[in-house]
Amino acid sequence: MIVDDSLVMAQKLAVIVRDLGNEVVRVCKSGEEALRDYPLVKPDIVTMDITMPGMNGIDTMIGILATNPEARVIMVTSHGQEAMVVRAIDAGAVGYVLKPVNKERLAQMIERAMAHAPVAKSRAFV
Amino acid sequence: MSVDQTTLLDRDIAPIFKTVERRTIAFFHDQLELVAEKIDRSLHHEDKFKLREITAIVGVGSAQGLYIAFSYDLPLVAAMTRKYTAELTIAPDEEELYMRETALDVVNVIIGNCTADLARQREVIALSPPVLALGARTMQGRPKTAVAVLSLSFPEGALDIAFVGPKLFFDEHLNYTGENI
Repeated sequence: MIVDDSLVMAQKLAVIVRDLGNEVVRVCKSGEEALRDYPLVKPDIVTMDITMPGMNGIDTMIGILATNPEARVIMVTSHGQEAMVVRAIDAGAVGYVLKPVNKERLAQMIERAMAHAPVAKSRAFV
Repeated sequence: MSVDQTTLLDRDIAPIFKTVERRTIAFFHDQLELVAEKIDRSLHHEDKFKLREITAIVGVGSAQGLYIAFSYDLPLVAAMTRKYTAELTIAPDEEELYMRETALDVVNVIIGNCTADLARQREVIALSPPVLALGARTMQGRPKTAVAVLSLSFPEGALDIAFVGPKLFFDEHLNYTGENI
């Protein structure tokens, strides 16, 4: 599942995710949408932007993890500051990828996230 | 640039000015294959600031923070969009939408990346989601408002990056409060 308020960024991410052999099962434009849709599609991995109108990405991740502790969230954001990375990891993110997104870096993060998957029959992306 | 301008730029906003300049030039070169031919730095003490056709504005820091506006010529945004969205399939009637989205994305990525250079240890610099102002216009500020501007000229058009103090041109929700021309 991809959560990003930017139309272009979400589509660029979707292209990379599919190129890496994964399926994009849902694209959400806001944190609120992601909270609503996560239980419906139960993705293997979520990529989460941080800066979004309304609910930001870290609060959205916390909300998802509160009811779905098995969720694996990779933050994909332009925020390069160390404190933001620490905040995201402390809040439960599996990994952190800086925009502009590097395909190899995202592939590493997906592999890391999937390695933590309890049961992963397919590599699906929300 | 006068001594007065140099002093203000060096003392007050030089760190963010310099990192935005460095990262903008690098992003345009590396990601968009657009090379700046000319770079100008200036400080304006005027109550009006002219915007180009498409302007993306982001708030940095707290409510007392800084607004940074990336103001583009239309042909430059078109060139940026062609490269930035090269891997996407865009219908002809969606081209304008993707140009606006590209203008927003680029400022979001560049300024987001800049926070890595500016944040002190354990400090998080907040960013607002960028907002867009369309159409060439003049923004009205307070008399003798200080606006630092970095101007980059490309063969495809110009980009002005304006660094504006708090609540001069916008309300707390980044709504434009100036006058159109």
